[in-house]
Amino acid sequence: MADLITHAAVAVLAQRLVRSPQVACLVAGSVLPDLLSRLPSMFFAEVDRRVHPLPTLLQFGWEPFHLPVGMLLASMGLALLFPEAHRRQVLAALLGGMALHLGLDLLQDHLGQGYLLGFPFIRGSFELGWIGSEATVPWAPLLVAIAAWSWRHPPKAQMLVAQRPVDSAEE
Amino acid sequence: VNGLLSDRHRVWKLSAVILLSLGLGVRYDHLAQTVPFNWDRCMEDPVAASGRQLTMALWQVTAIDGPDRYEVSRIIRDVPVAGPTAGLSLGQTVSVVGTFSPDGPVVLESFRRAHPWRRGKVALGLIGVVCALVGLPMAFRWRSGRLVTRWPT
Repeated sequence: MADLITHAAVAVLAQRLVRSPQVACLVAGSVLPDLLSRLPSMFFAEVDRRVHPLPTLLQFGWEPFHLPVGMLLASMGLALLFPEAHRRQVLAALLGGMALHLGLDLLQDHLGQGYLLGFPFIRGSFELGWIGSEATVPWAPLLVAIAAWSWRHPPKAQMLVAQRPVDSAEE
Repeated sequence: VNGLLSDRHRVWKLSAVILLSLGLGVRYDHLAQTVPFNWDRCMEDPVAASGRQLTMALWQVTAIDGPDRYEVSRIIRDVPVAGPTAGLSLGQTVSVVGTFSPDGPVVLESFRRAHPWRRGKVALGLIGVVCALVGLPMAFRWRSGRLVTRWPT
């Protein structure tokens, strides 16, 4: 997986192209696969290693959130927490962010130990293996700088959308 | 999709999402225990596993036992590897491909890749987690039983 900073920066840059009205959801979608899977998995692995043995489910059970079917479920669940009027936009933005995340991760090479994209229906793993697993690290500062500039200077059409209070319909 | 995203039976839909996620987690856990052919599986029947290829991507060097032997750990701890240790250091992250040998038993290294940027990646990851934990509550809030975007609109 690429790091969260890179994922978020790529999502900010992608927003310039897709112009989603739910920017926060797009960026959140780009970091949620790692936050929902890797973070709890690493935490419980450390507890298992240092404190007390835990059921393996607590280490491996989060992994589907980093795979398409789990991403779909997570996006659906999260979208249901939003007001009904915005749900389609939110779902599209979350799924878009998660697809960006997976796309970036698939570029990496883990010696053939890729991602189980077809889980739970197909067992085979897949990765493109075009870049090393840390290839994005040296580029991250530059990417963040470009993303920050892009954030501060959105396209004019996007600025007009941003001025519209999206939540007002619910108030 | 409209039906799935409507407010009708919202609690049931959310419950279904949680249950399905739990089911996927259980299924993945089962898969993780059975599918990858790893060191533990080899050790169950070392002779039968002789020559099996093992791939250990992004494992940590936990011991260096001379010029041609070291140990790596990740989910499984202290897997012995036969291979040159020149340039290796404790705590370093490496990816190793090798074959299982019951004599030892040991993994005979056939390919190794160092990951010098791994610590930088971990550091960026930690910064990212902190940014996410600060940024997400700034971007969303809970209002009238619903999650709403508050920044940026």
